[in-house]
Formats: sequence, C-alpha cells, structure tokens
Amino acid sequence: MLLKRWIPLFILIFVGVMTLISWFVPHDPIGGLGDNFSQFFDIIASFAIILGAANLIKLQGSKIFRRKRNWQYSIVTIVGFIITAVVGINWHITMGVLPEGFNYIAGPHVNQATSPFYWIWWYIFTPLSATMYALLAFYVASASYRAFRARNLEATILLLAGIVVMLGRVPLGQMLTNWMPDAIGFLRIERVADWIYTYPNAAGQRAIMIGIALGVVSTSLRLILGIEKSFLGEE
Amino acid sequence: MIVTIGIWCAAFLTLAIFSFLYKDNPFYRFAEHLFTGVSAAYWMVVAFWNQIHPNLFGNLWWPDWFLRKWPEFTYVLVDEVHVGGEILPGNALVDGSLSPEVLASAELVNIISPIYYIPLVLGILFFTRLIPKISYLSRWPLAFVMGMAAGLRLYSFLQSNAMMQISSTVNPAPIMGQGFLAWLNFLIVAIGVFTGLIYFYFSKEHKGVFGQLSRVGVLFLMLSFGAAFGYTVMARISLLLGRFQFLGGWLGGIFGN
Amino acid sequence: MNIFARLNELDRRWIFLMIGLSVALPLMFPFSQPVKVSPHVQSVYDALEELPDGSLVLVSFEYGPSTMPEVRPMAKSLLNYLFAHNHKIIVTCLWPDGLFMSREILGEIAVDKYNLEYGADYINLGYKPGNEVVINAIASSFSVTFPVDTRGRTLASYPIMEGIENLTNIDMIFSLSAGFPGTVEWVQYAADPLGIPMSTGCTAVQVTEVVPYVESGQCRGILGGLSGAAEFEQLMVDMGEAEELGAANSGMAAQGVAHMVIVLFIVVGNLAFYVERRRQRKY
Repeated sequence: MLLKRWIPLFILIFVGVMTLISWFVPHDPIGGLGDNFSQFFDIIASFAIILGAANLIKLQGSKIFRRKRNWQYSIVTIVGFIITAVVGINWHITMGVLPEGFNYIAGPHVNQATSPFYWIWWYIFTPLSATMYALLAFYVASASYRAFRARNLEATILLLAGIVVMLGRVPLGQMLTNWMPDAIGFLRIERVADWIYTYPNAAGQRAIMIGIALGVVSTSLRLILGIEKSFLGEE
Repeated sequence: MIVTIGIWCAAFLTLAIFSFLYKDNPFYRFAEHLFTGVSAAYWMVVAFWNQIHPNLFGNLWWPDWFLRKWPEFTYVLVDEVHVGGEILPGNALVDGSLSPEVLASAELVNIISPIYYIPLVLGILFFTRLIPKISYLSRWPLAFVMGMAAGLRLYSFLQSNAMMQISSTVNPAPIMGQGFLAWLNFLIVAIGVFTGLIYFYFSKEHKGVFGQLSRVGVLFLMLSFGAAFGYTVMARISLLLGRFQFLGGWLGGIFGN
Repeated sequence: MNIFARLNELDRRWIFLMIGLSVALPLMFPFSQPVKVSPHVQSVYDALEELPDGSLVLVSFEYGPSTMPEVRPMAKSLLNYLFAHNHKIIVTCLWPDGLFMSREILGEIAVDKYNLEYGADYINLGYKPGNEVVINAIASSFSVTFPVDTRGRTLASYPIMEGIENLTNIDMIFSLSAGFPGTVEWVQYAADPLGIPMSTGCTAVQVTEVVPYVESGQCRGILGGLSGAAEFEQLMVDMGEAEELGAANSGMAAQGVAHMVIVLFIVVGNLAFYVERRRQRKY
C-alpha cells in the first residue's frame, strides 16, 4: 500500500504544491526547488518518450511472434525502428566526408548533413509525415461535399462563417467583392472574414477558453489536494 | 548519389501514402508501418541526445577511465579540463585545441549534482510498466509529472485563459475615445462571451430567459466553429500544396524541366 | 436516376480527383494576384518595428515537415527582417522537428544570405523535451536548461549569451508554431508571467484559438497560415524590407482555386441533398 498508494500520492502533492508556490515565491529555497522540478520533469518526459518507443516494439514484436493478421508489416516497423535507432545512437556512422573543422561528436551528429540519421529524417520521415497530413485535404473536401448540410439555423451559420473565411482569406475569393465601392467597403468579403474571426469568433473561443481554464484549475486543485486519484487506478 | 536516392525514396513514399486515396493497399501499409517505426526511433534518439545526454548524464558521476575512453561522448559529462593551471570547458576534449598527449595528462573534472539521481531513478521506474508484476512503480514518475503539470497549469490557465480573458472582455479602456463601431464590437464580444459561458453552464436547466441566452451563445459558438472550419480547410490545402510542390520538383528533375 | 440523386451518391474518389486537380493545375499554370494585408499581420510588423536595432529576439521553432508549407515562408520572411535590422537571435525548439527546421532555414538565411557569425549574431540552442515546462525552465535559466547548444558547446563560450541569464533578458519572443506546445504555451508561461512582448506566426488551424490572446493584447498580431505568410511577404515588399515575394505568394493561386472548389462542393452537396429530399417527400 505504501509503494502503490501513499508514496505516489505524496510525490504528487509535494511536487504540485511546491510548483504552485514557486509561482509566487521565486526565491530560494522554494524557487530553486521549482527550477529543479522543471529540469526533472524534462528528463522524466524524455524517459517517457523512450518508454513509448519500447512499448511500440513490444507490441509489434508480440504481433510477429503470435503471427497475428498482417504481422508481416510489423517487421517493417521494427526494421525501420532498429535502423533509425542504430544510426541515431551511434555517432560514428557517416555517409560522407565531414565538413572542414567539424569533429564527430555525439549529440550534434544527428543534425549534420553527413549523418544517415539526418538522411532518414529528411527523405523518409519528412515525406511520410507530411503526406499523412496532406491526405486530410482530400477528406476535408469529401466531408464538405457529403456531410456539411445546412439542416438548421446553427448549421447554416457555421457553414456561412466557414465559406466567408475560406473566400475572404484568398485573393481569388476576394475578387468576388472587389467591385464594391469604398462606401460599402466594409462588406467586402475579406473585411467580413476579418470581422468574423476577430469578434464573434474571439467571443466564442473566449467562452470555450474560460470554460476549459476553470476545468483545468478545478482538476489541478483536485489533484494537488489528493482528491483526484484516478491515476492510481482508484475511483 | 545519396541525395538522388533520397529524393526517389521520398517520392515513392509520398505516392505510397497517396495511393490510399484509391483504396487500401500493400504500398500504403508498408509506408504507414515504416512511418510508425521510424518516428518512434526518431523521437527516442532526439530525446536521448538533447535531454538525457547533456542534462541528465552531464550531472551524474562517471569514473575517470570512462571520461577518457570516448571523449566525443563524454565532452558533455566533463565540466572542466585542467591543463597546466588553465581551466577549459569540457568541449576542449573534442575541439582539437589540445593534443592527445596533453589531454592524457590533463585533469578531467566532473561536477556532480546528486539531486539529478532523483529524475534518473524516476525515469527508470517508468520502464517497470513493461513488467506487469512491478508495474505499479511507474506511478511514481507519473505522480511527479502530474503534480508538476497541475501546479504549473493551475496558475497559468487561471491567469492567461481565465482572468486576462475576462478582464479584456469587460474592460473598455483600450477602446476609450474610439468610435461607435469599436464600442459595438466590444459589446458583441461581451455578449458572445457571456452567453457562451451560459451555454456551458449545465447546473441549471436551459429554459426560459436562461435558455434563450444559451441559444444566443450557441450561435456565437457556431460562428467560431465555422471560422475554425474555414481555417482548417485552408491549413489542409496548404499541406497538400507542399506535397504537390515536392512531387512537381521530383518530376521536373526527371524530365529536366 | 436523376442528376441530383447521382450527385448524392457520387463516389468520393471523384471528389479526391477534383481537389487534387484544383491544387495541381494552378501550380502547373500559375497566375498571380495581389494580396491584401490584414490588420493582424500589420500588427506583427508594427511590433517588430518597435524593436530598437540590435535587440535580442528569441525565435522558437515549433513546426515540422507536415506544416512546413505554411510556417516556413513566415520563418524565412521573419529571419530576413530580423537579420536585416541587426537583431540578435536565440533559437529554441519545443518540437524535435524544429531542430531540423531551424538548422535548414538558418543555413539559408543566416549563413548563405547574410554570412553571419554563429554564436555572435545568432545561436541555435536546439530542442528539449518537456513542452511548456521547458519554457518555465528557461524562465529561470538558459544555461541549466541548455547545458550545450546544437554544436555541443557550452552557452558561456558564445558572445551572444554574455550577460543573458534567462527569458527576462529577451526583448521579444516570436513563436513559429504548428500546435502544442507552441504559441499558447509561450503566452501562458513567458509573455504573461514575465511581461515579455511576443508575436507569432502559426498554422491556419491555430488561428481561431490564438485570436483571443491577440485581441486581449497578450500576443502582438498573428500571421495565420499560408495566407498570413503571403500577406507578410507582401508587406515586406511594400515596406522595402524584401525585394521579391516568396513561396507563400506562389502558393496562393492554388490555395484560392482549392477554396473555391470546396465552397462549390458545399453548395452542390447541399443543393443535391435538398432537391433529393423534396423529391422523396413528394413521393
């Protein structure tokens, strides 16, 4: 019980309270403690990233081991992982001559043009990552055609605001209302788009932001006061 | 040569992902799985060299023989290099300014910050998650992360996202002396925020005047979502544009245009 | 089957093809159109103009390959402006990709174009995991958070870091952001608590979320998405800061056509839906 419940609860409350106080008391010892906690957090976050990678390999490995459906593709994942990890961790692997005056040192080697890690980042990671997101353009277009229906007042307002913003932000759309004389220039589509996202949008977003902020504050308080214990697997 | 292979590789992977638009196929799956593996390793490598190596290892104790064994790794762990009364930074191990003979006789000072064994232990405890029997120990680092996030966010959200937003909604000082339109817009924002908040208040049934106000709030939220939709479309098209520009460059390279 | 019923059941691959063509064709046959500068972009420029020459600006790279088409043109115009005005730049990255993004663009602008000295005119501190906590950490110390820069040397060995202890020594923060952590976190953990002026260039997706901070004065202006980047390029040319327009402007034609096509999709989709619904009710 001590290891499972009380120690993590003590860590959470102690770290939470000290961090909170360090906002108001930036002087030592509390300020210094808060600074150290920031450093610790960043280091622990790095371990979490490595844990994530280890977990992925464990899952993909078990998929191969148990010959689950499409297990062959898991080999691709693991091979991709191993090659990237090896060339990333081993600072001696190079694909060409180092620039003059540059020594091979661990750490900065990952962003050298001669590093195979950099090559993988630029020619494998970049196109894959960018194209995955670019696919969304097609799906957003498809959704525009098939799903966005002006069924009621709310949906109509949403669609109209979307259309005005879309047209108002590009010169081709702005051409539609360029003919308007200056006297009614405020009705030009780019002006209306600017107005929508500066005022009504800001109002809507602010309401959401304030709502979320109050939610975050209350959740944080519940955590720091030890009321919220769901991370311990408790209700 | 390496660049050419790289460009072809990138073009193949781009087309492999795009092929999903026609239908699911082995090329897409290959690319998707490769992405998963490469990105996991990429994050891990970058986290290691940018945080664990300089910020954690640099504060721990290391034996002298280790510090001398791989200078291109330990230059971050060595805080001072003492050579003939002169104190140089750890980088002197690798910047070529000292000969191997001088380095062999130099004193390597590794300043230790014992408190950094705390994140080391907590970080390692994260991995107990992979061992079911003792996985509960991973709650310790998790508790640290959650405590820190709660302490930081409590104040920052209250300050930046609640107080400052409320203050800027109700404080007319910035528009003092401005025309009718500025006041009208100020009023519109104030009404929007107020009615929007009413919509999010679920402790009272949305009926009567309260219900009407909540409905006005919904309209503001819809305008906001509409603007967000417009901007999302814009963002997605821009990303597609980037990929097409790349493919255009690749095809241009092949056909010499 | 009448035309509206057919439209209602159109295979989505036709839609994919149309949207693909609407982006590809204007890229193949480009046409240029004048870009109008919006007030938020003007605010960014005004904020930059208020900086005395030789100020210390922290530019944070929080975008990656997927959002490069939107944010890179902003980064390019911004660095051009800052270096032309002799500002000193400290680069940090809250995203791992930012490390490579910043390296690439600094190579093009600081090294190739301006031939500046690394460590004296600019420095790249690189990436740290930890999201907003990294901002909180550099609010108290740069050298503890970044024991070494991207070249593996201690910060004390560079003249640009002389007397620079933490964020309070910075004259302005500029976040080039594509999501979390990014602009919002810089406002929450640096600009607001420390009172440092900041501005941002971010992806279009973030614009609506960031606008409230702009309107409340927590952030000075915003360059939003490709159109924001194009407007900033136009403004740079108009103000004599740059000689020619850049990548964002050359993409605006395709962007415009694609927006028109999507608006058309919405209109046609709704029309087909209503006509078909009325027809079905009739029978």
